[in-house]
Amino acid sequence: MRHIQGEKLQQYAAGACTQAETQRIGAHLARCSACQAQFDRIAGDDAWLTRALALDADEARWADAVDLTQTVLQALAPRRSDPQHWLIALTLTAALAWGAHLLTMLLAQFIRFKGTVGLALDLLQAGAYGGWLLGRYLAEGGLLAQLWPLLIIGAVWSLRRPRAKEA
Amino acid sequence: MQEHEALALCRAGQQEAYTEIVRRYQARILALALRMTGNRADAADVAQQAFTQAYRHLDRYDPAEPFGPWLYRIATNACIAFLRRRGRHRARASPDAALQTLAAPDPSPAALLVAREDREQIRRAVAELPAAYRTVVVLYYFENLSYRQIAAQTGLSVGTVSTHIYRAKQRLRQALAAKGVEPG
Repeated sequence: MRHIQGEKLQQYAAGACTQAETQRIGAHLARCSACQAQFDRIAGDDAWLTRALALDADEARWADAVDLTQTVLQALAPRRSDPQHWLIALTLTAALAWGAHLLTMLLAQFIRFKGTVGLALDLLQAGAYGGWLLGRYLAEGGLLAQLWPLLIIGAVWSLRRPRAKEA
Repeated sequence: MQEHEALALCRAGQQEAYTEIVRRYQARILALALRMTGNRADAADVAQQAFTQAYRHLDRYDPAEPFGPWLYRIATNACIAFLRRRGRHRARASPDAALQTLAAPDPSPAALLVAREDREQIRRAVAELPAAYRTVVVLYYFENLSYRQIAAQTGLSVGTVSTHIYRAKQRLRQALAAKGVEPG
């Protein structure tokens, strides 16, 4: 007699077999004590696992008490970029540009590149120098000094907007 | 506010309406995450992640279908992803963390049926199962889902679900026997 595989008995115990399989396995179990014993063990496993995994009263209280609403809303809120991150990024960019500028200057003293490579190096040197100047300009508050009238106009405009809405 | 109204508002971009959905489902999602992750801090993180993901993918939700199963599917996947990220090494490294949630000063009548010591050993053994096995075990024995529902939720076939459960139980029996625990 061919015995029923454990996986199939598990499926049978869960009522997840087809009708034909259910009939076949049921008939087999009626005449095979070994498979019936294995089936009983499988059904017994189901009982102790269900009991062992049930929530304790303490766990149920915890699950009921936790309020995720605010943390979920916070997670969904669009993240605003931190001005400090921008400042650090600009400083690093300026430092890299300065380094690249020095490197290209140094290279130009020893090696004379021609053609595309020479042009690319010239462009890199000019770009790096421009980046360095811009970085220094920003670091010294140069941009703020130039744009203060625009900032004041922007601040006044943002203060006027709520009033317009109220009206 | 009814669930479908809250969902319609969410889909229209009103995030505040989502608090209604979170309130409605958080206890069950937290419970699932607790059984899957093994500790409360991770469970809260995973549950929050699941709710966030569900909100961001609301456009994929079909309002003709019930929302709960869709959300549970996302939560299950979030748990699986978490378990895979964490790997088994952490569960081995800090089994006490996994058991932090298991000691209950006031067990329910259902839990009293199993001796506390044995129950903790069983839960510890479940926590040490591979993610694929643990998922089906938790969904079947804790969430009381049918094999078909588990198959739909995990993308596995019914046969694979059955095999996973059978093999998971074999592993559990071996692990428990090694610790001298005879469940049942």
